[in-house]
Amino acid sequence: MNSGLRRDKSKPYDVIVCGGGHAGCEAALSAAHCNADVLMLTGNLDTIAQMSCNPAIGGQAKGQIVREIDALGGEMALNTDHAAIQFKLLNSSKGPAVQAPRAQCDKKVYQLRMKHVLELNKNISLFQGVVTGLIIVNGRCIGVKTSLGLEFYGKSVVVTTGTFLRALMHVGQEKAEGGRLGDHVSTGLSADFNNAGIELQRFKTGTPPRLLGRSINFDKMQTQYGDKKPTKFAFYDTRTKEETFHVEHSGRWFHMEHCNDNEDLDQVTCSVTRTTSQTAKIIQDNLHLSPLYRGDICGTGPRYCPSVEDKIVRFGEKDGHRIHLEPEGRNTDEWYVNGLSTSLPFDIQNQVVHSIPGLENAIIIRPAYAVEYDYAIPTQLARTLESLKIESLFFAGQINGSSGYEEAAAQGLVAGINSARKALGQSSVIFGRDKGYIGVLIDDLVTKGTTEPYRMFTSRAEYRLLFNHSSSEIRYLDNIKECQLLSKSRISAIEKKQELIDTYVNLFQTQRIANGNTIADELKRGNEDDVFPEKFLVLHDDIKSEIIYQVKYEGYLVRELKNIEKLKDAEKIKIPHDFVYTGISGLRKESAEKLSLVKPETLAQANRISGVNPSDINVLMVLITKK
Amino acid sequence: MHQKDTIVSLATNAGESALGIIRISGALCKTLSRDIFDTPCPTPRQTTLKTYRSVNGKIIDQVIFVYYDLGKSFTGEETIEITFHGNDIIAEKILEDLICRKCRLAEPGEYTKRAFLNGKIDLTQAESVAEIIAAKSEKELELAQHQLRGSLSKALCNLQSDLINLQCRFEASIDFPEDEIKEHNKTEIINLITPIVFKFKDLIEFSKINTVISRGFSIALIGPPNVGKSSIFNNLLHEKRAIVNEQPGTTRDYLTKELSIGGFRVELFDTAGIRNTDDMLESEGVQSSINLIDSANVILLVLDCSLPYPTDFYEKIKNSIQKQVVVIIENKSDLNTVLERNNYPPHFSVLRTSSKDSNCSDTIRKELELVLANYFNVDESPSILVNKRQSHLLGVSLTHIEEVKSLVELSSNEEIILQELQLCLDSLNLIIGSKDNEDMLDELFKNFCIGK
Repeated sequence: MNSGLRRDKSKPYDVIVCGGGHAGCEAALSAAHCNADVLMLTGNLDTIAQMSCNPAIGGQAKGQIVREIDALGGEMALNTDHAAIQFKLLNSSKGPAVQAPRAQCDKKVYQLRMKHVLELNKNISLFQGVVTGLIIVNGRCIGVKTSLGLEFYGKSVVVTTGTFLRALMHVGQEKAEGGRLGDHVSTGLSADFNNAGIELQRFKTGTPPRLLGRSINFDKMQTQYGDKKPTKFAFYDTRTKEETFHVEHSGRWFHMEHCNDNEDLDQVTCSVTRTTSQTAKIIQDNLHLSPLYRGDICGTGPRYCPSVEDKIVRFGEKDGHRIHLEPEGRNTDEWYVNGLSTSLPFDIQNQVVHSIPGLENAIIIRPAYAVEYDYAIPTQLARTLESLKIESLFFAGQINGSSGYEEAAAQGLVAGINSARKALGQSSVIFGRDKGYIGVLIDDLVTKGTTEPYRMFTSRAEYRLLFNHSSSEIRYLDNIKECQLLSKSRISAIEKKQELIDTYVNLFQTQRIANGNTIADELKRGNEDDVFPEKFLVLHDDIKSEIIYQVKYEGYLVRELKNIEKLKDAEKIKIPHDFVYTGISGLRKESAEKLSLVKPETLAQANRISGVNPSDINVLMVLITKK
Repeated sequence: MHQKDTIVSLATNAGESALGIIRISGALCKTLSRDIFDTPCPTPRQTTLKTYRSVNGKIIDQVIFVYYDLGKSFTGEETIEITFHGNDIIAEKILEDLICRKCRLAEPGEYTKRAFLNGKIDLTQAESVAEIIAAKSEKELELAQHQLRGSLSKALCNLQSDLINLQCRFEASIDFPEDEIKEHNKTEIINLITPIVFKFKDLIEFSKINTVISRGFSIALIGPPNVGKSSIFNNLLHEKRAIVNEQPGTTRDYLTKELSIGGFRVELFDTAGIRNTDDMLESEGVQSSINLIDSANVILLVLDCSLPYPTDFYEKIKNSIQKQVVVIIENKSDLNTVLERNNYPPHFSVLRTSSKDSNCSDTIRKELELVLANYFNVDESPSILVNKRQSHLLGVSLTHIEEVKSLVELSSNEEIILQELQLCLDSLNLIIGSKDNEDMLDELFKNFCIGK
């Protein structure tokens, strides 16, 4: 379909993706899966899918997102499994709903494989070029301009520029423009957004220094091992071998970290140490040199990922703060110092590092820095991630005020699918917050906005108990079928899986064992010995654990399902896009203003806008029904 | 929201009146008709005299019951109207019973809204319907804010933040497993929950007292037959200034009259004597006397000095009277005393009276003033919580926080505890307005050093 690079206005691409980060990659791939003809523009082909901060994917709530991405046809899960060098299931002692997979990754392998996936996709054209402006005609985005003065035309445009908009890096009092150390800055776009009436604001984030491994004394630290039995991100019980190794088998790809379900994987280790009273003293003494405390940085930073200065100032009484040393890959000796994000001057960074046990002689090979950047207020988007101000313009990733590779990728996926469907004249698709974390993420961003870089927490989901990571495929099955997001064979495998689960859940609830109890009774009582029929024992582990979960937690899950039903009723009541909120008697002025800004698509969404109260919703319901 | 729920509310004003009406709208109407009135297929628009029995079989009142068919009622949904004797205690009991039977108290303007959504109100009236809903909500809000100013408001907000604080402890351990969140210690958590449970209980108690203050106290004369209850009843009322109004008890088995004691409005109940009996009619009367022991604020337990304490009487009352405020009256003191002070329930005081003594009613009246002042100290109670909906919501919260406590004791998973805790908060939030997840996160980041 794709006949290489073209700049012909009469033959626009279906979708142009600006940016090749985690959002951009998923956007391009998912649009291509939807049969769109895609152009991906990136400032630097070598930094495609770069993990700019920590060398890990997943973790609490994020791990669940990655599995959902896999359920919706995204690449992040497979790519992580292939590039992972250590697997860990978090909260493994807690209930299934809050268990989350995480993996340390080989950063370079991750990047290279993702780049290769893009290269091999026949619907995608890759081109290196910094996007400097948008081509907007009559309130509709029809293309982009790049730094070489080239113009490209597309029916839909997806902006995934991450932290690069008017990006300013800080190390002590030194400032440099750029979205990442050694990279460019994008300034033209900010001006275009302003002209288009798209409001921007400023956030800040930071990253710790990287150290040379041979200068670290690991003997002084505690070693952390991966799980003996890795919990992977992609679903292998429903996909074919060809789908699992689509790059490995079709390209010239050589790296096969996990070609089998190999349990004796040679996993890397991480190490843990902690800051000392000396560290705290150095930071206290030099606080005046930190741009954060000097007032040089005006953007809001994330509270869940504070700089080490913040930690010392706010929780100084603690006996030190934990520091994790994580390798950046197998073929490099560069180590990431998790927990030591800072914007202090380089010399002070050195002193801070050297005050930590095991790091007395450590050599910094990449300094820490803070970066401030523009983001576009996400309440200006619909739940398709299309701009409410400019038609055919989609936003995904950190530019929407989110943070994290996983959150970015999830948005990329949603924007990619919807931008393609729009270009191809198909109906849009909404991933509801009753489906999973991706639904919660999108709905939160476009409905409530955010006051700090948005990261997913399980507490953000009202129906957390239903969002256990292994049920992702089943939860999104409607969406998957509606948009044909997966191959026919995988869809039918998921349907079979669901049937199997339902059958067994039913069986367990009705069939009685020798003592007269049902298997469900026994499970709820915590007895899992000798209660299962033989046929059950041979099922895939994921399926078994899903069945046990549904049976054991039945009462709690039913509660969540009931609440979801209520939500669905209100989601059915659509609010017309052109609904005028001003001048309605009975609607408070303050609510009218908020509603006009967010333009909720359904009554349920309107109900989630903070400051809009139940009586406003009742008034709205009456007026919408009138129309 | 929740258009499918069956909703219920008092259609007439609260307070003493000849009759009151409770309206029920929604899909449960047929079930209710079957379960309460034994009428599975009610004839629409026909009035029927029925006995209202609660879920646990207790008689609440004789009522008139009318059923309206789907599409033929004000809301357009199946509707039941129950006309009862206009008395707040009865109204409250019926409402409570209907909530037990899965009905929900209607939100302000909800009947009008449903009528509109079901096409029973002309489309051109949409704006005015919207205004009615807004105005009614506004009024309720105003009322609530008025009530919520002062110490009660503070109590509710404190409860809300206690709950959020508890929530953030569990959330931190779930969402930040790698952040050195201290393993929470069961005793420590239980020590946090216990005072919350008590606070809810106190508030619910206060709301009962306040209901009483705004509506008056009920005082019941309880005793075996023929001990002189009715003489005391008449004596207490024959003070001219005492009589406020009179209500004939023709349809009921007890008499009630209103009077004023020590500045409080009091409803005095004269009841049927309690004893074992085979007579159907009498035993219904005995049962309703026993029911009154539960619902009255003060019990005047009347005994005959000249007779031994009747064992069958004691057996019948001993369970219900334990928790009540009781004044024991040893009547007929002019006769030979045979009565021994055995088996007396916990009581405030014992009086010896004789209806032949002209000071008899004064003695009792003074004692009652003392009791009311002692047990229902108006000055100490927070501002008034009259709203039925609010006290019901507090009750729901209490149930959930007690469940949280037992889940913690059982060492259940955090995410399960949190679901229960959220239900507790949801109910409280309906009274004082909700805090969203951001408030919990604020609290969390304030208290825990997060940042792997």
